[in-house]
Amino acid sequence: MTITRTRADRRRLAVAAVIGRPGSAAKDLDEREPLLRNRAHYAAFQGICVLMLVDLGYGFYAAGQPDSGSLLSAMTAALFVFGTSLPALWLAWRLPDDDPEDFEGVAPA
Amino acid sequence: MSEERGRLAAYWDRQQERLDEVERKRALKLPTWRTRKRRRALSVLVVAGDLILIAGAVCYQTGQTGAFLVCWLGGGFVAGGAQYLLRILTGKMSGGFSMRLDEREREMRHRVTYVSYQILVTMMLFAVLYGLLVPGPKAGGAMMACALLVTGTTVSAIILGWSLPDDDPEDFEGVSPA
Repeated sequence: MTITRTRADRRRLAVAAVIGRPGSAAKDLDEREPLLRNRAHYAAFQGICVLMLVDLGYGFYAAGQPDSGSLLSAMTAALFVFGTSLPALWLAWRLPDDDPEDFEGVAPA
Repeated sequence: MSEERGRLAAYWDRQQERLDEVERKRALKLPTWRTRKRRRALSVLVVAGDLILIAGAVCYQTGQTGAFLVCWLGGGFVAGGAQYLLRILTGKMSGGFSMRLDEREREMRHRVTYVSYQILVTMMLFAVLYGLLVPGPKAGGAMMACALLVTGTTVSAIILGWSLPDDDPEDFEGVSPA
């Protein structure tokens, strides 16, 4: 396992850790991955704060409409889905390509 | 073009120097408060202020305008004041520019923000449920979302204030007190 671990494996693990797939708990990560995970969440935190501000603005706008509670909840839920995908988006965008040298001598799966 | 760039660079340098000065001054503020005990007390105060804010949002929902005003302004004052002091004591580690932090501080900030991200996401879930389930005046859901957002954004400073260790006295040997 440790010998054949390539950047692709690490990247999969990093993305999995962020998405929170079962079996990708913090103990499965090497010491570099939590750093990446924290970095991604730091960026996502800023993003989700902006999204929440948008949500608030919408909430005060929707207060003038009938059934404003459901309107705001629907918007919050939508932005919630967006916000929770931000760490994975950040990682997917930022992580570099695999290094072909890592695959020398490794048979393709 | 190059002259323009030169002026921009000079401006940038001036800003950097100004920020350095601000940081030096901040590092000397509240010298007797720089203990873990004080920071933890402030962290508890921020949490209390956040809870008062949330209580204020609930009061708004139930229509008690007087209690809402007291809780909203009081909670804002308590949480805001304690947060201001806490930011001084933690060296603005959770709220400053990343560029101005060293490697260790940046790592710590990312770790702390990872936790506060989880907490903020949980609070958003609560906001969704609250807006759906609790009947009340029209802007009540937005008020609650507002209180929860404030709480979520203060969490990182709270965790830092709670968990940062005391200064090591050995670091100050040979340094004259300011």
